[in-house]
Amino acid sequence: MITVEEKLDVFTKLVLEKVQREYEEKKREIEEKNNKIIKEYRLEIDKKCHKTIENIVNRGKIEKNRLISKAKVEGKRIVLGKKEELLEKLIKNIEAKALQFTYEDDYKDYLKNNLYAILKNLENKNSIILFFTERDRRRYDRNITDILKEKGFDIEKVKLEELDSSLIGGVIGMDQEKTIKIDCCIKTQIYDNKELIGQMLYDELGK
Amino acid sequence: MNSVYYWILGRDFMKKEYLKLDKIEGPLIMLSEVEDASYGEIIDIDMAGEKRKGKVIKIEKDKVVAQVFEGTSELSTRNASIRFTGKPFEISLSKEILGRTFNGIGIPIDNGGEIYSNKKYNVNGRPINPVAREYPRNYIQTGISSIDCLATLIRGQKLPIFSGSGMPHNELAAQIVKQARISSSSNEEFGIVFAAIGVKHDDANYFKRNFEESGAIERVAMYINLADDPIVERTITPRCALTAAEYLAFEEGMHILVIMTDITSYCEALREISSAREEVPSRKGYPGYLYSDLASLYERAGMMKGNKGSITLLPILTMPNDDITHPVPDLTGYITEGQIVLGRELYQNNIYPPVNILPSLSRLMKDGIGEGFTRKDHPEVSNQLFASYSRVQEVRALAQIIGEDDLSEIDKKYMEFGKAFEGRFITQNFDENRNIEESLNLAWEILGILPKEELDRLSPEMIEEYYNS
Repeated sequence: MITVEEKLDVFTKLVLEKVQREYEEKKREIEEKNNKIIKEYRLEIDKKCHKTIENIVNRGKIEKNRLISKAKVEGKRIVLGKKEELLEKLIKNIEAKALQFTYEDDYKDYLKNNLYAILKNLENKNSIILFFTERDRRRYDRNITDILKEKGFDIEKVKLEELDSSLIGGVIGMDQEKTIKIDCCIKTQIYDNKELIGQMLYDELGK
Repeated sequence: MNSVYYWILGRDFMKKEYLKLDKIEGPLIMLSEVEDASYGEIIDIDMAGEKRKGKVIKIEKDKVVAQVFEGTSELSTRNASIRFTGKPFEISLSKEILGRTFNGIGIPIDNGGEIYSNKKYNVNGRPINPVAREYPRNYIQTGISSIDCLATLIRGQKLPIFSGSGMPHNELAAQIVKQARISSSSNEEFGIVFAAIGVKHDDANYFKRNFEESGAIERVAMYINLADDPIVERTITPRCALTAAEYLAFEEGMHILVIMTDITSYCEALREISSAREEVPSRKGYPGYLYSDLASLYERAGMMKGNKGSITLLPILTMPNDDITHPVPDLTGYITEGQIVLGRELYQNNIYPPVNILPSLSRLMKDGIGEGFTRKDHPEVSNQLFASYSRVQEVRALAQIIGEDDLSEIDKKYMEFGKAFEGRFITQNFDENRNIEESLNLAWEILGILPKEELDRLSPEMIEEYYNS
């Protein structure tokens, strides 16, 4: 015969088993849920991690590009600056050489040709002003007068003025009303050809 | 040095200068008793050491009217000397211009010195002989999904961006300059000529800083005309930029992308000059020749037979009052091969770049995309995106009437597609550079929101290969 205690034991056992099962089930469910959450969270963290790494790498790349580009641009600017310096130096040398030329015999012909060209352009003007350097006036005064006479200019109506010595040499002509100016001075000629000088220099440097 | 010296002094030289002006009127000066002037000839103006340039625009017997590029402020009838150069407006060009910054008339402003080259080109250019034109093929990747995927820029194409005031077209231009590259893996050279026309100082600095920071500066030649620079200079800026582009493309064999912002400022400068010349105004006061003037710029883009270089033109223009029928966008639209339209509504919804894809169109894209160029699914995907996004507009209109909750299941899917399309596909960070592969994959990802049966512009083979893969 089954005693009450035994019955209680069996009943207890059954209840315990049921609770145990339910507990296991719930535990499994919670574990599964948690695992899923952990997995999702891990994925999300991984994603964020990748994104962060990617962003850092991108930022690094941008910074790298910026630095490289800055250095290249700076380098190019320095080279261009040096070329420009070289060009200025070359022009200064040409100016010195040109000044030397004004003491040579060929300069007389150069000046005469320029004077002819100026007078041709001012032939319809009544009174004109001619600018020569003080030295040229001293040295070539007679030649200038001869040319003016030859070209039919009234000497009384031609005013000779001093050309700034910084212009090296050559001649500038102007009408009395100061409406037109013909510039045949050496410095203007050099600076007018600056681009061509630069081109020749750069071509040489490029070889 | 001796040879240079003899060569200089041996050259015929005479500088004839006119010292008296008859009249100054706005940007125009008038002189008389001038000999041998020719129309379009450039004049050098010297104001006690300050140099300016001008152009002969009218000759009547010995009287000449010239337009001064840098303006006539501080110029009087007696304080300047004028010299006729006997040449049209020319700029010196060499490959050295890449990485350099110039002002609106092609004078370097980056302290790098002049460009010394024996190659001098008339800024008015020469129109490409129609018979010599080659049909544009292949594409330029801008790294912007909405453009690359839906309004692809083809090499040699002219594709304007229609924007509005206050819209981020400058950012978009900077992003394109940073990211643009030619598609193929070949070793063809690529460069950009950037012309900023009538931009503010801060915008000019923004462009310069951006190009320097991104490393793009080395392959960019910049021509900057600032908003406070004289208007006459503004009319020359795009021509200088296009001349530089022609040199790089057709002499150096490079693929050149020319970006010009803002063409509306250029047209306004034309209007002002036209009015100063007392010409008969046309629509909204613009000159009657606005169409042909714009065509003289836009038509310089293209490719030539037997020449491997190309000029692709991306002019940016702001539509006053967002009015697409305004003469500037209207006439531009007649000449160019499509347009990219920026939408104010998208911009107000915080979408960058706010490319409104429905009115946007690249007429040449069909010939430069697909297998062999981008990817075989590209034409179908772009068609499908256009169709589906167009349906989104209808669904949104319906949702405004009946409410979003009462929409059918499929309409709700379209709403979701619309949000994803604008939020993920069109929206892109300023530093986000998506290649065409990434853009197309993203397009498929978003198309995956819609059920297969809705994708009626895609062939079953494409759906099989790419749908939700």
